[in-house]
Amino acid sequence: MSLVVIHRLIAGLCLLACSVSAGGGERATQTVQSLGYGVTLYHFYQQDYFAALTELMVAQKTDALGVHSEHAELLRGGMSLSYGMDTQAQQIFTELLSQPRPGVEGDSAWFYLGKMAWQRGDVARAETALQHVNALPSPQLQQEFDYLQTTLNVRQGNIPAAQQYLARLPADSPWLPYHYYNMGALHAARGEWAEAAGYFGTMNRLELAGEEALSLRDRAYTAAGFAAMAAGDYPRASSDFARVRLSSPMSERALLGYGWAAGAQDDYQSALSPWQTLNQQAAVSQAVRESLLAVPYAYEQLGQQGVALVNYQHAAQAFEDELQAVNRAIAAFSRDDLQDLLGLRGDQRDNWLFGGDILPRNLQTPYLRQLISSHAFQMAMRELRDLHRMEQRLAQAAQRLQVMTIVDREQQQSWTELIEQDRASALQQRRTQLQMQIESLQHKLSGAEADGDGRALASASQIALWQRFDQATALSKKMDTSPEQQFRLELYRGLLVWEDAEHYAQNLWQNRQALQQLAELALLSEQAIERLRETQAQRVSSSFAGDIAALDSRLATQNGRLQLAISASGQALRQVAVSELQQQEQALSLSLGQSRLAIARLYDLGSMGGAP
Amino acid sequence: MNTFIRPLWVAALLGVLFSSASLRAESLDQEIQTIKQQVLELNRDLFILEEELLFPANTRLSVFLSLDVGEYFALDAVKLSVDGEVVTHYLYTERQLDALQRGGVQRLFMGNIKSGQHEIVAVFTGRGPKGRDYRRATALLIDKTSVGKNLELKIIDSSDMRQPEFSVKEW
Repeated sequence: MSLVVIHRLIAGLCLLACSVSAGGGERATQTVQSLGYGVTLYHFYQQDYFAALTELMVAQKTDALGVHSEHAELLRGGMSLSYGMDTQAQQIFTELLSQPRPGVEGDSAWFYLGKMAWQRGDVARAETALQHVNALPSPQLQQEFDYLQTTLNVRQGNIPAAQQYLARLPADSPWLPYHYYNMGALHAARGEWAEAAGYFGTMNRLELAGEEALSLRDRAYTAAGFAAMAAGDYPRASSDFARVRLSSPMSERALLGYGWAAGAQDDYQSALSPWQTLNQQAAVSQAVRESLLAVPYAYEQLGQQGVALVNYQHAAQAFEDELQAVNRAIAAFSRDDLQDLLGLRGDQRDNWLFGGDILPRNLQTPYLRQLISSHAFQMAMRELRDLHRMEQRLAQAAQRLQVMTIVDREQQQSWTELIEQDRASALQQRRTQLQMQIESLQHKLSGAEADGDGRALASASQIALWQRFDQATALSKKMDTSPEQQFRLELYRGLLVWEDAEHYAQNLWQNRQALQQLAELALLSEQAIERLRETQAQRVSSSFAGDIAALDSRLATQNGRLQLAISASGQALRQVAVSELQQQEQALSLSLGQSRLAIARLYDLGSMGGAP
Repeated sequence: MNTFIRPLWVAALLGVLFSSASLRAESLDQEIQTIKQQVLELNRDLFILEEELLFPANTRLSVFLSLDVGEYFALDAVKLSVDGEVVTHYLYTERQLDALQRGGVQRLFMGNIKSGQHEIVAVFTGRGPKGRDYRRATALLIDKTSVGKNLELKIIDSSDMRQPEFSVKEW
């Protein structure tokens, strides 16, 4: 599914009533009203659901979503579903979508929830979710819903209900072939070969397009061939097998079946051709391995014991080689790192709904091709992948907590020093002295202004001159000064008084300005001291150490649970993979035994004068 | 039909029809979902604490970026400076631009500055009208107080001027 369609579907799931545009590549029609919501969307549109969910939950907890609050929870439900948290999504949808909401298209949400429950094998939960669906927004989605309901009802034996849903599917629905195939498989499992062949044969009449549909038809032809063989209709079986495309993943089984159908009619010459074609391929699949025994068996039936012996020897060697390879794969899946074996390490996808399958490629996985493509194994691989990514995130969280611990400790240290040195008190003392000086100066200025005393406002140089004049006057009183000297002293005093009077207004203005500035400065410093005291008080009572320790404790708990889950999840995957490989090992051992017995038998026959 | 090969094709039929294996354990499914939810909650609380401790409101400056463009400007990169010092330089991928164009908002920068006046300058480079190289800057003088400062750099298409417009919004 293209990115555009994914976005439209998810957006349809959660954002229909939101004010942002949802179509891929389209322009935003309106700016979001909350930065937190906008950042959530930024990660959401990149399908980075962990980051998007974190942003949204932060915005929810800090009450920063504004007008988007109403839809944020729905968005969280949709993203939880995409992130493989369908239980969480179900809780949210149950709470918010049980009743129709204007402008919110909830049917898609319920549909995807049901689909994921179905994929998980939880039929009851799938049924419950699908019951909420009324009408889906697109014909494609509606058809998938009808198909899912048909399948669910068939599985539960409610055929009338299944037929009702089936009748809603149009003749060209891409889901019809899947239904016919499932019905054929159901009847084949019960041994009802004729009914099975009927359903498989129906696919022959459908016009199919696309590789997925053609592969399904190949699968149906192959199954139909085997069903026809079981019913004893070998010509029909040959005809069904012959319809399978050689490029199809089913071609190996079809070639094998075609040979058996010919063999069943004693036409071993015709059987040889498909089996020999298979024989040329690597003996990884069950079909190729079986052909290794089928070819010499056919030669025996044709009376060519010598050629049969050579082919049995070839088969025995191939089985031995494959046994070794399968044993290596068993050893690898028993002890090696599953992230490497399953190619999970580099997989950064978060998307469970449309993320596509995980297809690991290495020496071991060809033996598990069928197992790996199954829903259950894919789900289990996604879970293990997500758990390992959680492990990485917890490791990052531990580093972030470590940084915060250091920062908090350093900040606490500097605040402690501040308190111990009592910087605020020292500042207050200086502030008090400053205030006293201001008041003294104010008093002096007021006095000078009231008395018109210019000398009180004189500059430093003028005051120095006055001091020299006062000293000279004092000396003149002790000494016998001449009238001339008395006159000069009076002249100097007159000059100084004149100077004071001349600069009185200017000095008064300058002193007032200076006093005003000092008063403003004093007020500012008072406010600064007050702020410092407030911050000190808050800081002492609200250290982050407790919060950091609490998070650290939660982190340790989560790490413990995570490691247990990784172990359990990995163990389940290993078990099923090793079990599958052990079955192959047993089958290979059996085939090896059969080929060796056949070789011995043919040698015995030769020694008794037979053909070899 | 010979009994030697009959069991083989029966096995093959079963192989065609029933290819899935059963390895689901419901309790493990639930446990994994619970772990995911709890790790998300832990990450949320960590994020909030980080913001409070490392970027307290009295010094915090957060800069976001949003787009409503398409016709007149294709963004390549943004360079953000605070008081003449480059604090971040960001190059955009196609996926990030798509997310921005559809209404997403990027948290471009989060840092600490002192109280008082500061100059914020953002330089945008990309392709402008008619696909030509385009480089524009926008500047804003802000007054940082004891409240956290959030700025949104906005790039919008101006239909009247047939040019992109660059602006800064204070939240």
